[in-house]
Amino acid sequence: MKQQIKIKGTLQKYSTIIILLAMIMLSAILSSTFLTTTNIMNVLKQVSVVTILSFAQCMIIITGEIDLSLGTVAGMAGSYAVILYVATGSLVLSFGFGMILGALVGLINGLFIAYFKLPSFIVTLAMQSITFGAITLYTKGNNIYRIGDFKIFGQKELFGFLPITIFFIILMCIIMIILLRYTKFGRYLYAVGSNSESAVAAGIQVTKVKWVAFIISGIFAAIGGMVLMGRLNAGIPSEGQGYETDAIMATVVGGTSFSGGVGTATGTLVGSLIIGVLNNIMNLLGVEAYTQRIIKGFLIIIAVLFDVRSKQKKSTIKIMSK
Amino acid sequence: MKKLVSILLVLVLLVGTVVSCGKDKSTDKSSKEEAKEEVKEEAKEEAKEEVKEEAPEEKEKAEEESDASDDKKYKIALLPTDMAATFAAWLAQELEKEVEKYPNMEMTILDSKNVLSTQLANLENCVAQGYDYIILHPLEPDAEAEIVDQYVSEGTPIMMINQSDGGSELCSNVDADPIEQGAIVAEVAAEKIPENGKVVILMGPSGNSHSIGRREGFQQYLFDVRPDIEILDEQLADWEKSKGMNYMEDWMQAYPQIDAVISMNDAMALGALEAAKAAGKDENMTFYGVDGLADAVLSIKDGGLTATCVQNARKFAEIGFEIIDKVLKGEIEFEKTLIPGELIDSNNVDEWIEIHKENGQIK
Repeated sequence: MKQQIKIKGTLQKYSTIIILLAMIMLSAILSSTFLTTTNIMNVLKQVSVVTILSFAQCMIIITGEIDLSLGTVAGMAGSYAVILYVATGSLVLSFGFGMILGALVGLINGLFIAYFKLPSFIVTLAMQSITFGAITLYTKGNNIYRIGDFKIFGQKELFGFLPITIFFIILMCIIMIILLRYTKFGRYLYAVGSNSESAVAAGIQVTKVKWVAFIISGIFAAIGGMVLMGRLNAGIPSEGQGYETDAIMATVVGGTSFSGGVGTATGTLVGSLIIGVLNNIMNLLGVEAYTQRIIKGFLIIIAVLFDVRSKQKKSTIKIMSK
Repeated sequence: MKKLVSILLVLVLLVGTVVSCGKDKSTDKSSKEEAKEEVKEEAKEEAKEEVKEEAPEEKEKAEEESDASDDKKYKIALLPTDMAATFAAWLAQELEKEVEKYPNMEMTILDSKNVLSTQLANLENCVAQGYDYIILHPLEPDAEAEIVDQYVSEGTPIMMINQSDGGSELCSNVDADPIEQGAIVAEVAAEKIPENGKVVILMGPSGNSHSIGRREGFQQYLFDVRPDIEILDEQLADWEKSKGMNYMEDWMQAYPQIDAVISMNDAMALGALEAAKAAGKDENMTFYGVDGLADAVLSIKDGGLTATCVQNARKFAEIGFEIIDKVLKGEIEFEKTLIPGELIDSNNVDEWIEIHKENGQIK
């Protein structure tokens, strides 16, 4: 009896990973090119920006809030960093400036959401408009080209084999795992998200925790934006738009609960990879454009359904084993 | 601290309501009363209502406006699709330059921010405010044609620019033919793509008339002329560079040989080019796009993109204002015309770099 529960428990814990592995196996059978090194690298490169933003989204959703400004912040901070690089030629300075811009947006988001207690949905939706306006005000609708060495943030290969975009995924993933699992701040995030009132009762400064979370989210968005611009080899503010919904999708497929308090960095990475692999295999197989959208939509629903169902079972088992 | 903040907020709110009430009054009147009377009366009333210090300013304003109406300065409104979009911004810029050549006209820009309902609201407001001419850069010409016809028949002449007239019978129209744009690039592609070449196609958003039109141009002047060419795949990349890049990365895995990328705009073609470059496969491929903005021109100069077709915003502005001038003088009621597309390739790329430097796209 005990053993059975254990097996079921691991099955539930890794439900998203199982979906991903099943998809990879199926893809490998369907297409001979799928498991080549270059193709795997391609998938990782393609999901890099979304994944970086998803980590931020995951952290914010854990606290029970949402960040809809991620995409445009990425577009704005990325483009301003490109502009500064073209003007000064300093990679360190422009990368730092981009991160500061992201942090600044996070600071403002946090001010209204954590301090003034406004709904994050509204504040970050408004911030979408503000940040996009803030970049197009300067560029006047033009894009920035000939960005020189800035493209190394998206196109360089480290040690001759590791694309820098994949390095960024790994780096940000490790940061997020440490943050969520091994710091006091991380535990506070879960506490705030699962029950804000009892978190207050336990002496957690909810305002401060949420505020810091939004600042970190802004920085992550900025880094994602700079990777995106590097990959595009141009500063294109509008390219950031829409990434926030992709990030929500990856986060939720990865097992993060919309009601807060539940979610992991690795789960988010897996969620992002599920969507990435799906896009990739459909292109490899030459699936027609409109059909692709339908399949993608249904698979996401199925993945979330599978995840939710397995979690429901988990709670019933807990009661039974008592 | 909290008290202070709340007092400040209340103050802001109060000021906000006062200001917005004031605005409402004036707009209500303007729609009801006739122009000249309104200007005088408003000035009088507002002078009474407001503090004495502000009164002289109001009088000056009223005088200015009445002066203007003596000179018959035509008020023209431009409703662009989205000032954050590169081509719309360039077109607006050229129109602003062009209006300066007509001393009897002045132009106001009201951005639609890529939202159709905003554009329709702007259109409605401009008609209500009595603009003499409206230049509409429509987001959805087919959806807007009917209302445009209604406004024109009620006495406000309108021009649809850079899109089809959507079936509107009474508005002026300055447009480029998307089929021709595709055809111009297709003719170059038909020469350059090798025998039995294999190509991939990147399309704009589903149902977009320019994407469909350009595709038709490629069909007639490339694929129908060269039946030996094989189309490997065709996907919607929604005009976006990053999506063009993603598709190309996958395609290079799926197909051992790709000779050319046919794209309905430059951004997607340039995304595919980035992917091909990263894989070291760009040397033996050719890349075709449409739009001819700064990014494409610079890429052609660097030996990346092969050819593109440009919609020359300057010509749109010149010919557009010629028509507006004639309409306002009462010579014609409306005119519909097509601006021919222009090919950009390595032969004339320097010329276009100069043009884009002048309009500020290349700094």
